[in-house]
Amino acid sequence: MTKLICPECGTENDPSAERCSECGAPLTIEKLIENSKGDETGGDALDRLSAAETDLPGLLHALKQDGDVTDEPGGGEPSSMDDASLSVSADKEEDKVLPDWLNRIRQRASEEADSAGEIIQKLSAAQENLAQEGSESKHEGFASWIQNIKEEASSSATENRAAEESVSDENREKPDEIPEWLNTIRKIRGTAQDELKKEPSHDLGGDSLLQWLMDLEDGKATSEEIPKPGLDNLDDAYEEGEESAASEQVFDGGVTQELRILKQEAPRLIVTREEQAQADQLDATIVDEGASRVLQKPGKRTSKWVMRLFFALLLIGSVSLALFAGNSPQRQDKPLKPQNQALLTWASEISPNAAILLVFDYQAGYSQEMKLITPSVLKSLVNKLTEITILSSSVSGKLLAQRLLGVFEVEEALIINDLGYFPAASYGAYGLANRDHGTWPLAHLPEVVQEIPADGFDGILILSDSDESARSWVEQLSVLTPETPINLLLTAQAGPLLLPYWESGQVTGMISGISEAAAIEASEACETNISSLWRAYQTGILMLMIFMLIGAFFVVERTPSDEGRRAS
Amino acid sequence: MNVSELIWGAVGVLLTVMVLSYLIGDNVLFQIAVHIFIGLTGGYLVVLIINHILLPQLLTPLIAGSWSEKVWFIVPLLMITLLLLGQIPRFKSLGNIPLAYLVGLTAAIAIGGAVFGTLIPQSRAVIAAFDPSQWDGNTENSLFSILDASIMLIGTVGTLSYFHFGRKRNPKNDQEATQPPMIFKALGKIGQVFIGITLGAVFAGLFSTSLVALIDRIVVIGQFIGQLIGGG
Repeated sequence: MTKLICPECGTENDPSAERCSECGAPLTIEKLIENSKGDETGGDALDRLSAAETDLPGLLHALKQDGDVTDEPGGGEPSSMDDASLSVSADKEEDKVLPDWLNRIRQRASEEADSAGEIIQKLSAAQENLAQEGSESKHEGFASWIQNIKEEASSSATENRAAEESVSDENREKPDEIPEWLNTIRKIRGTAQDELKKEPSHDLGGDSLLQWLMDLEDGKATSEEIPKPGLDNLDDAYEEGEESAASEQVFDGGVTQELRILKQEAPRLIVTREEQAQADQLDATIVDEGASRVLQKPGKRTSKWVMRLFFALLLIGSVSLALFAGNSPQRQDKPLKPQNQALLTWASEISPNAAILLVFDYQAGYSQEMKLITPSVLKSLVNKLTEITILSSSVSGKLLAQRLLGVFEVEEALIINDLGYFPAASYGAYGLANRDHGTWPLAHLPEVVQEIPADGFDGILILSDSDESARSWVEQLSVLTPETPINLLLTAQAGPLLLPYWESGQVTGMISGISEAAAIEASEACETNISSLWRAYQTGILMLMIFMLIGAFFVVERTPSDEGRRAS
Repeated sequence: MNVSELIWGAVGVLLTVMVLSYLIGDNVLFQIAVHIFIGLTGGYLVVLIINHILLPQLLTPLIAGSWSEKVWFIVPLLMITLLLLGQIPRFKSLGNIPLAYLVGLTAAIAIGGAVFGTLIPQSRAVIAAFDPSQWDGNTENSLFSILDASIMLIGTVGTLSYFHFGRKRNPKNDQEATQPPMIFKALGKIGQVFIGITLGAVFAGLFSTSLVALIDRIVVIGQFIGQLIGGG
């Protein structure tokens, strides 16, 4: 529990008391300051202050010693400022019973590294120094003095805070509103100022609170005004000789104290042309980032997928209607294309003992189209041959072969030799064509590989959905085994780019797409499902053409309005 | 319809609907379907490579082959080891050796095939179209062959000119320095037409193939529903 000691009679009083309970002497701060004016021990204190001016602990220690001197019986008037303001801590146990809020404030201040925390930490360091000296009485006096400073600063700062926040310059003209603890230090420094002026080159160190406070009184203290966003403020912040009334809040014992600080002269900022250009660009970027954007309305995106769904359902519905409604259309007799006729001729002229290789080079997604294209050729081969060799350059080639060849009903069991999976078409074709020319023939290849005829194949049929992959096969095989007939069964997407290979004679025959397959079916009366699918196929093609025209018209109509909206 | 057909039919219909749900945008159902397809393909590919490539063409010869054959199989084994070591950052450079071998081999095969399998035969085909000995006695067919060959020649030259990015050797001004020679510019315009027609044909073929796949799915779904309703 802290108590105030009356400067007149020495009686202990409650901290909140305005007058001494014993003699009635005023205990206000003004009275205490008046008493301190007559204190002749201030010079001694400043002598010690000069010796320990580099840091706050030295200053506090000096002040504490000053208080000790005045406590001596023959030390002159006992009414020094320090003695009056010092509060007495009874013992260590009394420190433990400090209010919770003060303990929290001390703890927080000791943990945080801001300006207030720095002050508290220095005060704590000073306390520790005193404690090391083993003087219990000194420590008690020092602790009470610190506590008194905090309390007085707290009360005065709380009262003046609102006014000081608005206009900090007024604080300089109104010294009455300056906190008492600052007046105390100012008073002490007043006598020491002459001595300090004699040593203009002294450097009290950037960490010295005393130096900072002295500079503050001299108007030397610096304050960094927080620059506002934007590069233009940088120039303003570094204008030479400018004074700003920036304020800095100092946390001291739970009290926020605003101090008026003058701006220090800053070095001139030299900006090159390139740096200025970069700064301008950055500034423009910042402005551009902050500019308002025209946001796309959420309803527009919703309308897009709704429209997409609508057209998709329209396509599916029309195709389904063509599939499941109405009678099957009659077959259309169309003349066969030369490449189709060539392939059919080759298939019909195959001898029963011919060695035929089927290359499965299409993905599972195109199996339905292949199922519609291949029957006319494969049926002819299966009915004649007893043995077929297959090879796959797609992952699911073997499964597709089983599905495709399994639909045919043959009198004799068809022997299928699987050469395996060749990941790269060009490697597979090159290796297949050069097998007999290899320098190091391998003896432990799978047995089916040994089944490759020594004289090569009598014909190769490539089933593919990719023009690139099929072209690799054709390029390699047509050069390495030019005597072997090469035929193609292709999806519609691969057909156009492989037609030149038939025209150049590298490919014997080819069929591509459902339209050519439908023509073959009509000419040969094959039993397939093309006739039932043909109307749906035509309907789908018609719908897609309409959709594309609508899309093109829609885009053309939307473009001018979009540009107008962007312009606006 | 037995239980197996019912289950797999339902799975097929469900996956089809999940893929078609992409019409309303990217969603969880579509992603699940895609993940299933990719996972199945990846797993099947691994099994396929092990059973059809690694086991029969590498491990079996290493185990059952003679010592002279084993020596030869050290080469691919070493390549595999280096390729695996290349995945470790410290030994990254070692992985470049088999990659360089593969790239070199692929380039050799591809370039050889392109030159001898495409460039020379196609050039011969264009030239042969102008050979009078190839024409038959029918005048109409001969004229058609000449017309066909002429269009093919113009298309080939125009397309090659479109991809000619040369500049004038001695430009008179800055504008000429950025423009190709006039003859290539004119032929390039013609080539653009042929390129557009070619891409249009490829696009139409892609549409056609996709439409057949869609029809197939509709047929499968329709048959499945019909069997469910009909109890067949």
